[in-house]
Amino acid sequence: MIIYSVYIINKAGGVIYHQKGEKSGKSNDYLRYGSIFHGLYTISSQLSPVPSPSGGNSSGIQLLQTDTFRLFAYQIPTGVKIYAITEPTANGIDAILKQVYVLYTDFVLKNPFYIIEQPIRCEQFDIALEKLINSTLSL
Amino acid sequence: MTIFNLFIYSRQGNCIYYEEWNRKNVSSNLDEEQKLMYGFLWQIKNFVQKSSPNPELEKTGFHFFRTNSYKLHFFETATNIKFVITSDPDAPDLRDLLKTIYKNTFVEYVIKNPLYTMGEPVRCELFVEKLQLEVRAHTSYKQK
Repeated sequence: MIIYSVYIINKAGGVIYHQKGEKSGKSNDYLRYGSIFHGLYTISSQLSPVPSPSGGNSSGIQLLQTDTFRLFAYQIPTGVKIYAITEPTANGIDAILKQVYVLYTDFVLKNPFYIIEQPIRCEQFDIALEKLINSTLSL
Repeated sequence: MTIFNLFIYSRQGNCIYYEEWNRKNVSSNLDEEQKLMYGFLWQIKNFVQKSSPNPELEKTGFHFFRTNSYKLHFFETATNIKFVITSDPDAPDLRDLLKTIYKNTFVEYVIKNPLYTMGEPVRCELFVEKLQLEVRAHTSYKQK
């Protein structure tokens, strides 16, 4: 399956990382789309007709299906959201998002030069993420 | 599995029909909620269009999204009437149900009703009756 792009959004809604997959847009618009997604995520939780099965509020969008792609989102407890845009028939991306989270903690949070909530510029993270995404191509 | 609520929006963006079943979070202000839902859908449509990996394709339709407690299904007719239904997260894609509601119930009992003005709230007894039958008969309606 193909993962077109991966985004990481900080808890304030700013895009801190964007993995530009093939066929994704050219300009810097992705910064805006990431923030729009942050808003959609919050509103979808407010619009829930039922409380969460574990009590409390519903989570936000976890899976979004359209004609041309699927979007998988995963929010980690600190409020950082990771989401991936994949081909419309992709499955099991939840597990891959968790692996992205592992890479994020290993190569970004443990990097002493990284300032939290700031855009991610860590070469090791780029390399590891690219490797992870390429490994899903054959799935 | 079960179904929670249904919204129908006119092409001007007004909520012309609302119905709920088995809803647990009672809304404090239904009117505001309907407006929020419309704005939300508008934004989602926009977002989906822009995020599409093939922006050259003219139309990217949004089908459904899922959270940990509900699933929202969306269907828009060629005349921009929007049908939205929320259900249990395990329900299958309910666009077919929305399409049958549109085709067999909405067109038959609302559009063909001579006393109905386009864009006005739906107050057609037969429509409500048939809609209830249709939704309650659907396999996804049964309570867990």
